[in-house]
Amino acid sequence: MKTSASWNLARFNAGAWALLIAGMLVMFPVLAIDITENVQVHGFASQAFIKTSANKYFGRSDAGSSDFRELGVNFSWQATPSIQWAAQIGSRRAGGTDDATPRIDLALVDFTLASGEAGRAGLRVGRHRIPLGLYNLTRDVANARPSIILPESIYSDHTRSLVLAMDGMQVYEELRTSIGDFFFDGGTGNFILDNIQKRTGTSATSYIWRLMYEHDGGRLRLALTGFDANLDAIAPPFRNPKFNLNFHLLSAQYNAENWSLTGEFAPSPRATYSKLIVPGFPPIIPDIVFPDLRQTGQSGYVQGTYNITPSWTALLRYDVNYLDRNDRSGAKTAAATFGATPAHSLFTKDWTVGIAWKVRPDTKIRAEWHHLNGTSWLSSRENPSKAATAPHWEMFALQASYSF
Amino acid sequence: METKRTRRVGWKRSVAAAGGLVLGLLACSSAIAVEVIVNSDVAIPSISQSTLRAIFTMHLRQWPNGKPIKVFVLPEDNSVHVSFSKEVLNTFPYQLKRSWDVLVYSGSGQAPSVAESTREMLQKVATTPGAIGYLPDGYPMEGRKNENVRIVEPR
Repeated sequence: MKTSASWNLARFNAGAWALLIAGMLVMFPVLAIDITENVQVHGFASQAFIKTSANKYFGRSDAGSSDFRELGVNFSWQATPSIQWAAQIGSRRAGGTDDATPRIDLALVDFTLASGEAGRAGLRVGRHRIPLGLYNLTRDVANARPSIILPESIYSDHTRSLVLAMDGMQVYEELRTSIGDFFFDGGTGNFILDNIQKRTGTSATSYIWRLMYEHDGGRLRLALTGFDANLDAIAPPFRNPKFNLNFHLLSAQYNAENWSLTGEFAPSPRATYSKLIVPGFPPIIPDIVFPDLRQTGQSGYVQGTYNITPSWTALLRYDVNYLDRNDRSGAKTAAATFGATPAHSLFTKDWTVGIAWKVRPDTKIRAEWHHLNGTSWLSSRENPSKAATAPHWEMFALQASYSF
Repeated sequence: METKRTRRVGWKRSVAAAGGLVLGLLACSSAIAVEVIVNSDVAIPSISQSTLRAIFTMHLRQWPNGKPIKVFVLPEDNSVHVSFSKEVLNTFPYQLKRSWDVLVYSGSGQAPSVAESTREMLQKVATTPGAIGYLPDGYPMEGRKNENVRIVEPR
């Protein structure tokens, strides 16, 4: 009874959202005319079908899953040339990793403090998006992604909420020079945890910065991102352990008229558990202090896209992720855990080929094939037993997406 | 005799037709010259490529006098928009779209207004204070209500 009721509620949520979006779509031309010209409404929707040969990705994909859909509505109001208000409400269903609960993806006010031909500087206050690498700011919007699934080594879906948005503030600066444009964003705040993550800790002050250089209107784009996420963990019997995720990301992209080449590389993303202290039972037994637990990985991908015609684009990508850069094959970990953590759960190598058809400027249909070795970025929520995952697997995905 | 002449005329016709076709194809593949237009209340004599790019990527939002800039573009697949992106801004339509998407979905900017046709472009720029847009070179602007539109020279 209970299961059925909650299932119905989930269904209602999705239905209500679909209705709301449909309503927005119908009303949009009216809104565009009636509301002041400084208000804009944008939105996006996508629905995918995923089939894997083994393992679960966004639902029961081994049987064929249509449990990946994204909806969102974005509002902005340019109150004055230097003050903009913006908000975005989104709903995302992604199998066992995301349950379609509507949430506020963005809610901020952007103050331009200085603006001129040479550049712009300002401040964003509120729930701001994390400017990580080349794709993070638009990762919700299927039409703005290069593929159905972003390279998981960098844009991991199981740590998605840690890199999506923060409640806090951001400063930004743009400089236009004779040799190119420079963009700097630096932000701080607390990231937003979902209900399951809230059981493992509370978000602590975290930091993000990105320096980007664009030459010749974006023909060449280079970026360096620094990220430091902190969590006050809940992990009995430890008293107040801290979790930290720290990495630097190097990004490069070359854009020609009919093709683009993109690469991003995180040389040493590091996850650390510190302050691992088990309190002694007062008053006689002292606290037991454990050394920090640290794991340093390595991730990166190279991606090429080619426009076969103005409406057909092909994609080829190689994406690789190592959870422990000192144990790339996973053999040491497997031996140390007597096989409970199999070697293949320490890495993933993903060859992807894809094709995108732009049906209209606002509608895309995509298909892609992933040839995979390893399971490091699979969600443990969907694949609770690492030992039960298959090391070699294939994934096919099909997606229709729309945005306005 | 009669047949021969007809045949010769026919041959000339085919050559002319083929020539016309080649010229037509060349015209299609070569870029359309594009002019930048502003509402007449915008008091700038000329504009640099880098400033134009900052305006059309929606990063620069104010004219030197502090008045808001209203940007109009033609649809993404319109050949005039493609030429404008490539020849005037020295970038590509998909790059402009990416720039607008980033601003919109990070809450730090807005997308430009879309004029569905060159006719609507002229009308919108003429009637919106602070407006900037573009039209194919030599677009007939006389005889319409466009004392409100000026052509801006690239610098």
